[in-house]
Amino acid sequence: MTDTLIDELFALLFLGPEGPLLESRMALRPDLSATTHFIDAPRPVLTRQDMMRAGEEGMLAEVGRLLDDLAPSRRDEVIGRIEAIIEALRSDASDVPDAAPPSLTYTLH
Amino acid sequence: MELLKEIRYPHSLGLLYSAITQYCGFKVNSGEYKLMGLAPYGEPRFAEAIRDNLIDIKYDGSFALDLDYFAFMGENRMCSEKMSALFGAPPREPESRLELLQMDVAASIQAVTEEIMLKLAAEAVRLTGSRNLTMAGGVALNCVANGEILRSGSIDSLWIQPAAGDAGGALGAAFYASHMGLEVDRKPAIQGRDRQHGTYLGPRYSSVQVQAFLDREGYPYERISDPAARATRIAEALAVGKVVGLMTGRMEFGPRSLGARSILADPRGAEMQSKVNLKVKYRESFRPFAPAILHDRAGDYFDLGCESPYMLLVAPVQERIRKPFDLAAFRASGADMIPEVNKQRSSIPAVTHVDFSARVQTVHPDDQPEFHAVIAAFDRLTGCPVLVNTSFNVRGEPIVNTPEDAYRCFMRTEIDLLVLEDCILEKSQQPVRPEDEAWKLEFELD
Repeated sequence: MTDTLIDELFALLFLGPEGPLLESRMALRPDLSATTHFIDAPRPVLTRQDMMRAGEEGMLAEVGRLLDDLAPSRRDEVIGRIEAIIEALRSDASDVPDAAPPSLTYTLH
Repeated sequence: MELLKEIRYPHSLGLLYSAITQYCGFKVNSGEYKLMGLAPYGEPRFAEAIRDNLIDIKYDGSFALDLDYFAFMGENRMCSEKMSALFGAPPREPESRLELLQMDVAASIQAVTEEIMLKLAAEAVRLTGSRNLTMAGGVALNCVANGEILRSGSIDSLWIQPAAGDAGGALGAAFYASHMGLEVDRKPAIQGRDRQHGTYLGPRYSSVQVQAFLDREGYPYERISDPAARATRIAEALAVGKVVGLMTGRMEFGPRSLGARSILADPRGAEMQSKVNLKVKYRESFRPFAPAILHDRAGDYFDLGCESPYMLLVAPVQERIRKPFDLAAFRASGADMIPEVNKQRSSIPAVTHVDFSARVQTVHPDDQPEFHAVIAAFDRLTGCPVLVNTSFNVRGEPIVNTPEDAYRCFMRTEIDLLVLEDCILEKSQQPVRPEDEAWKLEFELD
């Protein structure tokens, strides 16, 4: 079950009819005529509020923020599939006494 | 802490180095150190081709990859066919013979990496006005480049968090939250020594736990509680050519064995290199081992100029202890590296590379008193304050952690003496184990 969900998430992210969902951010073509390839850091510091946000709003809200350049419907679909994987992993873990619940990091990894 | 400039994925110096690692037949995220160790055998004849095709480098060290040469974004491989066309040959098959091509590609990517890192370091100084440089990330484990930066004169001091790869990100995030989020005061270095204290942050097993294990299994051992007597006993074994597995205190956090989970040997004999490689590590290697040296004697053997507690700096072996090596003759004779690396290139040949460099660990008694005491005792016996220090594992396996791990590695190899805290085990006294070679298949070779 979990493997199927992971395969479906992978297909959604990378095998869609319009190409990989995330390719737009990966296939950067740098301007070779520029004097530098550095970019100014858009967010030079993390505030205390930034650090606490994931704990207050939930980790999936943070994932959603990372994907904020996707269309809202596509972003919600990705988040929904990640939630389904977490639930499936939680169900798997319930068969094992003393098993820790799956973390978001584990799920995404 | 403020983030000033970024270079974003997929434009990554680490991914470039990993791509070439795979092209040369080594495992990604594992064999990069082999590529670095291969470089001294080669000539950087592809450096211009790399600059002209693979990576565009600006004056400030910023760079961009030509993604046509790479496949890591969409496939389970690092390089595209264009990489093979650039170097004039397909990728090397893992475990096949290393040819001059791979040596020269390694030398070339190492030269380009050093160029970029030197430029980035200079730009960091320019941007911040500080000549105290800190580096992190997997590329910061390139100790050859680190040594070049330090010797370049562009900075005054260099600190690299020893778990500089991805694992260290957790440590950095925790410190960032503590100091920047919770405003906990930072503690300054004490007398110029960093506060990671040798990075011995992992698990430890007490003498009581070790004895319980050995007694339960019925393995014979000698307990020497006095640290000085124990150090002398270990040094005596090393001085007569024995190989020692040392497990003491907390395990290291980071990729290097630094005396808590180490295999030790005498660096002075020309044969020790091949002995440890073939009988303990089960490999042939073109790379020498790393030297661990008393911190206040480093200048006698290496042109270092500062401490290197985390084995992250490569320094030249001092001229006065070198013996000549003719790189041109080596290349003309067929470039067989194994005999070459086993030749006497200095008074400590087992830790001297063919370019007379060494990946130095300076050992301070405040960080690891047990390890320091062993080297000091070896120095008293032999006049040599240097030991071979290599990770306590066999090829492909993780470094040992528990007493059980250490005993298993001890019995599967030709390590002569095992030290588990204050318990010492002689191989000759251990019960005979049935021959079983299947364990060599447990882990994929690195």
